[in-house]
Amino acid sequence: MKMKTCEKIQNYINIYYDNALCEKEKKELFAHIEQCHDCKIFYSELENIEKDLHSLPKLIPPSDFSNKVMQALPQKSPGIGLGEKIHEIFMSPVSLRLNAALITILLFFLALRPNREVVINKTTAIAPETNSTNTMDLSLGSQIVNTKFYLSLPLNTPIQSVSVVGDFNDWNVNTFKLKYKSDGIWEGTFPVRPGKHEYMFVINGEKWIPDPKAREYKEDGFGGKNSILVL
Amino acid sequence: MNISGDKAEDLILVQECLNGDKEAFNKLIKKYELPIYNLAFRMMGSNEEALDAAQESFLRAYKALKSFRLEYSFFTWLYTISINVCRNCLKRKKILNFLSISSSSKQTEENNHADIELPDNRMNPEIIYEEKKRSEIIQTAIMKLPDKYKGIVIARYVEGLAYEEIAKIENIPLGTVKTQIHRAKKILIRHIKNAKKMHDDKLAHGIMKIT
Repeated sequence: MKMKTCEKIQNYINIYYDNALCEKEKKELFAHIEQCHDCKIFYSELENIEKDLHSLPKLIPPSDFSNKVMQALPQKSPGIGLGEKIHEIFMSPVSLRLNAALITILLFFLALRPNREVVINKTTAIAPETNSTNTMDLSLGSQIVNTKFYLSLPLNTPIQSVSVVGDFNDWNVNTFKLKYKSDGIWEGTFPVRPGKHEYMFVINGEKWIPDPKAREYKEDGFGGKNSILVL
Repeated sequence: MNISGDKAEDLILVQECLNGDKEAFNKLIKKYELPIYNLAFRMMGSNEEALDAAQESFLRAYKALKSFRLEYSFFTWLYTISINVCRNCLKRKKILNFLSISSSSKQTEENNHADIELPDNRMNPEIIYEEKKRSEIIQTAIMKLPDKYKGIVIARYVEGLAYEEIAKIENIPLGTVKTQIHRAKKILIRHIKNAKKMHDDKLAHGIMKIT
């Protein structure tokens, strides 16, 4: 019984520091920690860590920081090309009717074009001796290319998740997650815009590996390599 | 930070960048270099690595500017990129350390915290020293957190972002943000306790290196 109450109170203590505890709960919390030594310690530990974290000083970057970044910017303007403009129109909720017409036209062109499939052989960084296949299914003709990423991993490795990150999803591990298919193969199809992209695979949300047999690589400026995908 | 006027100003600056006006991007850098540099410093642990990661964050943002959508706030978007850049750097650092081909990583340890500057006009040197030591201990504890918690803790405590904003940045549910912060704090408490104990022991034995 005591355990249950303490568990509840410790949860309250967390919520208290999130500023989300109601008055009644606060009363309960403070009444409890007057009697319970363990919970009182937990309360003061959290109080200290909150103080410690909030007291971290703000650091000022060197005054020439922005100049250095500006010098490192690519010459090319990041401006919108014609392709992206069409895409923008597609994504914009205000021009839905126009979109319907455009979709019809694009579907027409899409129907005229044959689908292409590019197959690249790859070896994973985890098991260089295991060959795996990475197939990219490129359905050209629209502004978004549905790209299939395959990664074959050895069966004896404990793997909970595989995702693909790149400039197309702002290197966010949580967006493009591959699904386990069978025989160690993970795959997923995601929308990628035509163009040149840098990407990597992330295993278990922790281990970042390049595609060792991608057709191209680029130094990422941190001593590693990003794989390059050209659509 | 993200009041609506600010947001509108950012949108105009982004649009100007897309139209080819680089000076507009310079304004965005100047506006956000402080939070991005602080994020990078707290995640990477040294000034040199923080500057590299912060620069890379802005470069990636610039290159990806056309994928920026009106419904985001520029700051949230930039912060997301930056957390991911830092995580990327940390992964590489781990791999390099593991392969022990990185001589710079040892250097990094020594350079750690070298650039933490505290206001010193009103305190005596001993207090400054203790304060500095304390923020070093906290920084070291943050560095020891699992990578997935680091960014969240920094966003919350160094930048003071709301849980809702962190949920957007991390693309995870609000409840998960809270749970992860609670867990991270427990880990931090443990690390800080150990570190303080070691610090006090050293002081007690008079073997503290005075730097």
